[in-house]
Amino acid sequence: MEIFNIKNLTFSYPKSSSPALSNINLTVSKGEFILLCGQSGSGKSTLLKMLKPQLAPHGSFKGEIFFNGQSLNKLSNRESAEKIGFVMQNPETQIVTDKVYHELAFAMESLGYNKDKIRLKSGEMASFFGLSDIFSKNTNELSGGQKQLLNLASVLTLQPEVLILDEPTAQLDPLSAENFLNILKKLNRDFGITVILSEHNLEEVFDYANKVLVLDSGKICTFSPPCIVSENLKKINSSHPMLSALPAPVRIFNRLNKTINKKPPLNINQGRIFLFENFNNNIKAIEYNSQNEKQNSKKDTVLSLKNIYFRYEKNEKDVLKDFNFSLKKGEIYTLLGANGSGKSTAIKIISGILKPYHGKIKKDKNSEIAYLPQNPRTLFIKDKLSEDFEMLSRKEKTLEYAKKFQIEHLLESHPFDLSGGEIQKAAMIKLLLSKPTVMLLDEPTKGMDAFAKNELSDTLKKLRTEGITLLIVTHDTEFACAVSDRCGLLFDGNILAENNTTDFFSGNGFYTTSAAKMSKGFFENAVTCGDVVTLCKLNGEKDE
Amino acid sequence: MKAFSNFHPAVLMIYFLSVFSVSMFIQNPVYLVLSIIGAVLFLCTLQGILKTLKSFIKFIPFLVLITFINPLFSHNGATPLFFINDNPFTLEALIYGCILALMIICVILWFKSFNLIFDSEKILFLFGKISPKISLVFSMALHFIPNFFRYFKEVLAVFKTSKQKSKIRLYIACFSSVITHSLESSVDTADSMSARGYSSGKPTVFSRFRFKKDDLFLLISTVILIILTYIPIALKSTIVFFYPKVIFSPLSVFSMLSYWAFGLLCILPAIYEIKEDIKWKYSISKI
Repeated sequence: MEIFNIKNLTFSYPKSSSPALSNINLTVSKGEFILLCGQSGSGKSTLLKMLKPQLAPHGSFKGEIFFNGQSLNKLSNRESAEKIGFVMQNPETQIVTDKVYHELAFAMESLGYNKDKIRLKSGEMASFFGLSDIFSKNTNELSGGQKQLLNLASVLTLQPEVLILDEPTAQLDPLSAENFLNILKKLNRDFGITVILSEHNLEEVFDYANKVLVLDSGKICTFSPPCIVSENLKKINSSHPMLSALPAPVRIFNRLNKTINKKPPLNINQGRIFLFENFNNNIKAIEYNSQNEKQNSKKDTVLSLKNIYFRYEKNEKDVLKDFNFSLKKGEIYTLLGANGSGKSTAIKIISGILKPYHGKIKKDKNSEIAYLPQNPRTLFIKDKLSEDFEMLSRKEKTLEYAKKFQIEHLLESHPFDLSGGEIQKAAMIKLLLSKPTVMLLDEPTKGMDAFAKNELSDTLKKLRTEGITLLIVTHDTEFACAVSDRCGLLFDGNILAENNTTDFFSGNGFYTTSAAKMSKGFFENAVTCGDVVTLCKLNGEKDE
Repeated sequence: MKAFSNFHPAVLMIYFLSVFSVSMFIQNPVYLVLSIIGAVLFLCTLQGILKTLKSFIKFIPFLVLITFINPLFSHNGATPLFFINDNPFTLEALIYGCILALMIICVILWFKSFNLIFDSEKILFLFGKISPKISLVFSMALHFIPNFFRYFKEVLAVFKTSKQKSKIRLYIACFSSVITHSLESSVDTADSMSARGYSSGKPTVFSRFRFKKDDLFLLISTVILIILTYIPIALKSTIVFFYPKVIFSPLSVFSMLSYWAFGLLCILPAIYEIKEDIKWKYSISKI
């Protein structure tokens, strides 16, 4: 039974020369779990919005979309609200009312359900989603993860046949994201709800999806089960950009694929079996010259914090207790940690936004600190990007930087019109214009796709060669592993472990990268996909 | 304890309106004193005796001030106490000033308890009865305002360390950017509303309130007591004249009935709170 049937869909936005979607042909069957991926700007959001009549963007539209065998245009507002559930990216802006129970009731209120039914359904949803404890709370007080769960729950109160989700976990921390995706899987498995999900972090759902749809500049690249996605992508282009966004086990498989021709492993467990069965492990570790490290420890300290204590309110608990930290000149240091471990607080103290009530902060006299907040949009307060830059520097200088970061075409646009990756670049420029020697970045990869992350890590490495010291605070282990020289793990207000990146990630069992998880116990210090591939090639395949 | 807040909002509203109407419009010291006693007792059960007394003491200078200001401006009355610049300072004006001050204090005290009892949920429910749209707008505002200020603070924090010369200009720029941001995100909110079927039919208003037996009891007692209070008032058997001389209407069965009824009405919440408290403690002691 097909639920959606899209025939020859072509769509272009008004005033745009190239179509946002071209010639899309697609059928989605009832009960399927479809994963939609593609670079940002590839038309993912446009396609998803086309499936929900109330959200369909304006523009020229060709082709037809059928829902349950009936043209989507003929669907009444009420039917569309009841049968097609839609969850957007930003957890905050989707919430309408001030109380959790009211938000749950909102959809049912709008459709005029009677009071008893609303009471029953909202109670039922709250207990299914574990929202009972916060049922009477204000929606403002919830965490990002709770907000997004509430949005999902509110949509589900109408019992839709299909759920469409547009990057729902982009703004969440990894733990909440995983929790959210697990609930989606449960909804699909236990209740048969069709799910169409666009995601940029594929590790969690790639193996569960029935089919993966890859879009590239408005066209379908492949629409196939996950195990043959990489094969299909390679047929189109052997170095297709989407290949680098696939989960780590698939990437490793692809890079070793010359000799072995099998189905790729889709999750870490399958990846481990694949390694164990196919490769020798006589050489267990990559050798690094320890010279680098010695040089590192000799470097000057730019910034140091000693015995810092901090709390937000007099009667609250300490967020940082006996926090000690030092930053060496010219390094990239990454501070990792779970939610509420005090990462953001620490970086705010270093930047001078917050003041500790106890402890010493020593700064190098010549150091100039620049701080990138978690939401880079807060840096921009003018109507044009160029005006914001010119608050700090001359026009020629800003133009030079804009060219360097390839955003000179955006200088005249409004800062809020920029995409996640673009605003990040603009923020970077704004920080660089104040000629900093130390840059502090708070969750720079939030909401970014794999390509933007790669680009950012290249930029940061380039900045380091220019002599800028960088401190990054993040949840993102893969990104931390790719950019940093040293990493630290923050727990309960102070730094638990601190080491150079390779030793840090190979030492951790759970808080580590996918590649390290995959090769744990097989290789000793393989923390990136590249490391695993190198070691596999050094060791060679098992003969059979 | 806030057992009184568990009543149905409509019943509570009727109760508060009844008390307010007498306390605000009937200029009779007996009603005022009864009303103040009731309000203070109620506040004591809601937020503790010490806190209530502390806030009550703060009113004393206010009471004195208004009492003495009135005779400075109003020179009516038959009993001059002394003269200021040839203007009489009369006993009647002094008494009237005192009554005015008591009335204001009385209203403030009742409003305080009203605030503690009426959370946004109850107000929304009452608005929803009048117009669902107003109620929704109100609820959205309650969600929007704290978000707005949180984002504003976030932006200000970023610029806290900046070396901008004019702080005021910076604040204005920040403020306008926060407004732009809010408008931007309200587009998302609107999408989310229409995606969930807003404006696709006649909406219902959901509330968690149910009309219980206790509500009926409070409603009936309020109505009976307030009628008993008002009949003698309407018959002018409790009327008080302040000018030119203070004249109380003589005590009669009728006026006594009115005073007793109003007094009972005022201490009803305090009695209910204490009763629930005892009941609670007794139930706990059985565990």
